[in-house]
Amino acid sequence: MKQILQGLNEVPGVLGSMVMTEDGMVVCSALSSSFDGEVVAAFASNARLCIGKAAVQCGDGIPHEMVLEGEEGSLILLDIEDATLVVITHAGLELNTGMLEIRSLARKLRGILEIQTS
Amino acid sequence: MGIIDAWKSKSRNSKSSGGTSRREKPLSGNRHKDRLAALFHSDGRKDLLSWVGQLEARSESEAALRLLRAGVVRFHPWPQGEEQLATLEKKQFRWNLPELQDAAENQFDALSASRLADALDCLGDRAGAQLWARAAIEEDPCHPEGYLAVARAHLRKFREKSDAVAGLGALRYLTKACQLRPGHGECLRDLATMLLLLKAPKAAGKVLQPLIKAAPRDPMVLALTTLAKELPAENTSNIQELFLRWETGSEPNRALSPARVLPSPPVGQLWEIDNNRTLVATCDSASRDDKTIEYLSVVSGTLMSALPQMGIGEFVRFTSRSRGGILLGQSDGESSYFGHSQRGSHEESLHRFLNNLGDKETSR
Repeated sequence: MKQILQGLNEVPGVLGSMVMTEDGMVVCSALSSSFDGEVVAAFASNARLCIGKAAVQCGDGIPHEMVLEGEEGSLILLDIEDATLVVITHAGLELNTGMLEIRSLARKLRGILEIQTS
Repeated sequence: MGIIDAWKSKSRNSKSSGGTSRREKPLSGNRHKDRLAALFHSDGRKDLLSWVGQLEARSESEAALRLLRAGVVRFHPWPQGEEQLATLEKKQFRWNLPELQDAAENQFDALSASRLADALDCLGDRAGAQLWARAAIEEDPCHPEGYLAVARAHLRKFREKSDAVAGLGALRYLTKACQLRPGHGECLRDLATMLLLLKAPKAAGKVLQPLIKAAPRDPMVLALTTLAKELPAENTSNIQELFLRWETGSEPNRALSPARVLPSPPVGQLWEIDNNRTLVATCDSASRDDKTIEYLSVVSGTLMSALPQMGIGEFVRFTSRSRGGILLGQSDGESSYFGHSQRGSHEESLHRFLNNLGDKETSR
């Protein structure tokens, strides 16, 4: 898992990544020293929870992908089999092919977690 | 499962863990209950410190510690009490540390590791405390003690330093511990403490019910019960909204009807929520259901607060993709605009509509 996250961090524009459980516990982290894992997990888990509740209330069901954009970067949350892949990127990554690579690596992680739970 | 729901379902072993914990036996017999309760009245600080002093003089350090911990929660913020508690905890844990280290190293299990983590945290060794708490979780991820040790460290920091990250951490780890062992006495006490710090006495009162039955003379239960009765009842059960109220010191105006009507998008629904998390405008087709508005208002407040604290700047926009639809949000600095459609293919047009809407409203 750590290897996949390190691979993910090599995608242009990606600043760091981590995997956390649905309840915000960090499973594996590959964040650069400029980010505090505990802070990212706290806020990412809180944001995921409140957007999830709003989406369910609107009748959409639980989101499988969220992109939160700030002025200086983005936070991408991808659902991966009872866990969440958290990716921090430079601003504007959503518009290029980086997102495709992130989704592809998220599928790999989902595969690993499926094997581990079966 | 939410944090409030997590404690509700009683576990099989809730009786054994619900009332008296491993460290917190009732201070003394029935005859002291009234005197104890009086210490937690609003003018009880001086008497409480005096009683703590008497217990210390009788070498009843554990009892003194329990009483002072309860007092610090009851009278928060109480710098004098906090200071004395820190001194007392340090003294007690310095005394116990070799025994706790021995237990954690030789008969290693989640409980002994978490007790050592607690002691190290009180002694100011945060890194050591984290290490042992994580070791407790790794040793037995289904045992609540490791999560509780982390939650308690966060809760202490949240109470002492009003640290938002610590508050969110406490909520996360308490939720986990409550899910693993619903009805666990210490989980309930810590959860009630957290809820009272967030000014939610109604929710705290519910959490305290099983503790009042099981341990009515417990100083912490008496302190929390007195505090819960004193605070005005909250008007929401949404823990994230409570957290935002604590963080911003303001609450949205739910009684206000949206004054303006937004132009209807070609597809979906639209809402505008101001920086005070109050709904100020909707399109004609948008739902005005209380829950929908509360959830969108919480999303707006959470993203405005979270993104800068994570180091990625002010909130600009978000996209949430589900199988059943898309939910989008965009901020113009003064308001957040939300759009929803049940078709994923509408994402781009809805984003464009929100973008134009924000520009128009800003120039207006």
